[in-house]
Amino acid sequence: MPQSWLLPSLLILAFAASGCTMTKVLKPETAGTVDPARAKVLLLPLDVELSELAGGGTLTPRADWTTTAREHLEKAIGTRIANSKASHVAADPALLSAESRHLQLFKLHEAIGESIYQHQAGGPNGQLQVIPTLKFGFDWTLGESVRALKEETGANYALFVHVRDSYATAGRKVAMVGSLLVCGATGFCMPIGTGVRNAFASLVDLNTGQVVWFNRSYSETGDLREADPATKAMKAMLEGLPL
Amino acid sequence: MKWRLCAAILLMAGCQSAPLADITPGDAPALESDEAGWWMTWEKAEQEIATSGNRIADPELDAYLKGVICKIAAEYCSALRVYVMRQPDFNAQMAPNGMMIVWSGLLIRVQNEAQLAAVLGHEIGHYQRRHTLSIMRKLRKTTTALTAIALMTGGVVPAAADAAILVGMGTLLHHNREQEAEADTIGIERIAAAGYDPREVAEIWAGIAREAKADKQFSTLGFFATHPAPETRLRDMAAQAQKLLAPQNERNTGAAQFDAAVVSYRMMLLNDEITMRKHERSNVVIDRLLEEETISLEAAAFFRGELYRVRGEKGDDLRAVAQYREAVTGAEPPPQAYRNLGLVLRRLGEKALAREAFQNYVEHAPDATDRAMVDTYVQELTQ
Repeated sequence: MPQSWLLPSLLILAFAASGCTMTKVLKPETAGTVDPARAKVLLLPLDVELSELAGGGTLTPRADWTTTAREHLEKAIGTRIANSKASHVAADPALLSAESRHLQLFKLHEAIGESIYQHQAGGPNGQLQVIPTLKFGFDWTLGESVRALKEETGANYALFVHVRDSYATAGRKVAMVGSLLVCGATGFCMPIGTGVRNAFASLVDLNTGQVVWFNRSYSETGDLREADPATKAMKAMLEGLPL
Repeated sequence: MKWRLCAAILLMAGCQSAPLADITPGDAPALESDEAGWWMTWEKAEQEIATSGNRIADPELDAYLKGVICKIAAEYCSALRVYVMRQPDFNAQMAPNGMMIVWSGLLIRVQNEAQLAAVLGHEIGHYQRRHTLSIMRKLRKTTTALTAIALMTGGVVPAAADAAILVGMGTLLHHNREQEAEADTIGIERIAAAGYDPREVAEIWAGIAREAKADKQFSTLGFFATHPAPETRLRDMAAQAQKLLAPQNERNTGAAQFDAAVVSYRMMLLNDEITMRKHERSNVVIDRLLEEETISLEAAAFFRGELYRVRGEKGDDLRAVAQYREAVTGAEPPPQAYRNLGLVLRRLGEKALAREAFQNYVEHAPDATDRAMVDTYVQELTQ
């Protein structure tokens, strides 16, 4: 039995298992500093979706995991804000019902957040899509219509959080190991990835609409379905939050 | 080798899945199921659809469509929600959570309530049989099987992995077409049971076949990769109609009810159709509306003029002028015919005639929102 492929395979395996977490914080150059003591932060309902990654790479969304993860993250973020000098304004779920005018604002943030994420902050799995003609710094706003949200809730900042995470099935894990073994043995290498977390969050000034802080985070480890790892993930997601 | 591969894929992806039970009205899937996961993502999509700027949010039109749904599927009446989207193509969509989307282009392609009901019934068929869930499960199994096969054979015989992909994807497409045929049958059975003339269903496909024949690009649309060809559906539906036809259903098409529900939208929908820049296919749509006498000769002439104007091939400007001139011969000429006649004549360098056309437009539509622009043209053409 040839042993020559065993060591490289094991090394690759060890590397793959170690995973990594990356963050990228962006702030506008022209923004005034945020005064945490005067900040009343509205935490909007988290946009979370957890999926199962099957052997062949398909993603199946999971409602139960999503519900659990959202609860853990909401609690962790709430605690994070409560422990800062800022005060926490809980969002009424009706704020984002189809009848609410604020839903359009939420959709606008989704579009802006996605744009920052794709084109300035690294994109999914770190694949930054550069727009060659787009040569400006970090300067994004939701417009002054955000004031309606301020008037209704009394908050002067809004925190938006978007999380997509996936977890490999047993079959997927077998395929990963199998692909590494086949790769080492035959030179036929098929990249089979594991579940990853892609998240972004932004803090919006509800007086001006300006995005005053943005963070993209990417991770291959940490299970949001459990409280402690979720708290750890939250810390990565809110890295550099000026509160 | 090949049949063994097929057998492997069928074992892993195909045969083990029994058909799903029909959805139970009012039941939500168990939270930990994959079905609940898909519902969760579709609920979010539904919120986007409901508040989309592209939606035709008309409570009266929605109520009419919902009424037809409840007539053909009383048991799912409270579980289904319908949204009309401003999309100038023939289509409707069904999400597994009970959201139905009707594309506005459908409303100038079906000719009466029976035909409309058949399309809605087809979508209800997808919902009832949980087709989306079934295809998602199949996709998952197939791709997993393909990965396994690629790993087992790929390093040694790459061609085998390629062959497996073809077989696997073929299985999926076949499954999809089976679902479409099943939904067609559910649709026609439901409308026959509700008292409509089932022979109307074949008329839908006759119309689509005519459009497809006129427009060479039509057949390359992805739609036909996953759906049976319109001619096939025409034949199947005509055959099924013969079996389902009851004497009391004969000629019960609900044409008047359908006309009353969509008449106020027809001109807008035809304007949208023109923007697709599919000259031949749009001409078929106009022909069919003329044949069923739901638009006037003058209106048809106006839209044919529009088709020539936007296509702009050699000689089209003169053809457009002729059509617009015909369009304004009626008792109530559409003011836009004058304006667009002016635009084309201006392009042709016919200054005096163009000015006259613009002046006619302003006379017939003094409060038009583009009045200032047209006045500028008149001024320019006077100099």
